[in-house]
Amino acid sequence: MNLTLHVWRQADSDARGDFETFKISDVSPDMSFLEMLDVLNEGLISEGSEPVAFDHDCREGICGACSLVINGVPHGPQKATTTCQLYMREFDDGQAVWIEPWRVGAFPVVRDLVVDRSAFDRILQAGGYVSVRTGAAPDGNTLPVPKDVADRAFTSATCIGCGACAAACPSSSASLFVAAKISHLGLLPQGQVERNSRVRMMLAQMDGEGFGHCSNHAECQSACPKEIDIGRIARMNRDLYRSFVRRT
Amino acid sequence: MPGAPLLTRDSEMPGAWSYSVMRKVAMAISGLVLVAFLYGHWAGNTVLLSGEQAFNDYLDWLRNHPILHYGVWIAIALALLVHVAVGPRHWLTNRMARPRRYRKRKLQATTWAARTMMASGTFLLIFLGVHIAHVRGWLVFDDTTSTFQNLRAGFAYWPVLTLYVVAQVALALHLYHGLWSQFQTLGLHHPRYNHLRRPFAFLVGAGLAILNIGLILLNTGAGQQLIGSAT
Repeated sequence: MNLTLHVWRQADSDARGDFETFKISDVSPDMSFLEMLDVLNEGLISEGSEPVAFDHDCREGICGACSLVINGVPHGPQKATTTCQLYMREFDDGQAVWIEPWRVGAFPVVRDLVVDRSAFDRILQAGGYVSVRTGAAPDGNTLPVPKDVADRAFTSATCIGCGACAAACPSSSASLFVAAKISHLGLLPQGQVERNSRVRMMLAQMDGEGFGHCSNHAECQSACPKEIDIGRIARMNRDLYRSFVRRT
Repeated sequence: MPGAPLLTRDSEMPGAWSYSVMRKVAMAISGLVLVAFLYGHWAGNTVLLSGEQAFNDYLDWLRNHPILHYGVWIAIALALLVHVAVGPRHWLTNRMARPRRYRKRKLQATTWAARTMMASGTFLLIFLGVHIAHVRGWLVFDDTTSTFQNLRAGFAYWPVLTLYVVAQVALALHLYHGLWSQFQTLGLHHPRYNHLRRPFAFLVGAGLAILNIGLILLNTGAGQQLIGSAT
């Protein structure tokens, strides 16, 4: 396959940045999108140019490191897929492919396609944890959790924190990420102790980071590679109201 | 790269109204108050069809019930104030939250109604100004002091009629997103009933617009002829 790539290049967070166009040929349809970028970078390095910087780590769809808005969609055209699990067979020979970083003010561009997502880390630090006494791991069955509750908590826990929700959101809101974390911990008995402070701390940190406000466009759930649904956001809002009326 | 300072202790937790989610609650509740008022406003205005005397009796009746009259006035004024204070503020923050826009953008889920909330809202606010001026008699379409005559004269004038009808369409669009959105904001989410949220927003929003347009058209010359030939 031959492709025309329009790749966002930006030297650092202060640089203006612009698109650079590359022609790439002999792309195998069995390559992943990141492998295609690897081939592009091999070529750039061999001719002495700067390679395109992009985030990646596990390359098996579970770490949340990879990003990229590909032809206007976070993680590209295939639903419920991270960029590393997106294969070139999803593209047509000769197609133009526009590759942009997550465009969210709270995620400043570090270089080219790499953005700084530590705003998410700070939101987690603010309240996305459960305090427990450490020691020997307790037996899994000593704390009974109903199956459907465990399932819902697990679905929320599948959030890999990639940031596609905020990147897709017309308002640049981080609500789906925060809501997934709050449901993940708040549905389980271990998470009850800090349930009130968690929602208030995480939401306060989220507001402080400069994300926009959820406007219920539902773009986030379409972009989420783990298909986490906006019902989590409704639940998060309920948790916040609950925190004002109930002590625990 | 400096980000926001990390909140660490519960003592730093801000009060309820500094949360963006709580401002959205204010948005949802004030919106619901305004929709409830607009249904009442339609029901009251159906007396326009019974002629000038009935309409004036209705106005007198309102004036003789000051608790109802001023209660409603205060409620809608407050709701409107909240709605107009929060909406543009959030719209502006949301725009600033993405300093650089995407070159290519393929939206997958949102609706046109949702993306034009600020535009439809601004238009409705302008229309509201014109409507109040029309009803209060600051905009005169007939050399009379009668509110009833001035209303009918306005509807007989095609630019005014068009403005009223277009405003109802904008209202339906605004409510299609707003009435769905308030379910999410208020946390009203249940797998068994979620499929009813969109149809509810459509029916209540479009229903109000259709009722209003119907009432306006029946108060035009052609509408009066239609009523005359039916009775």
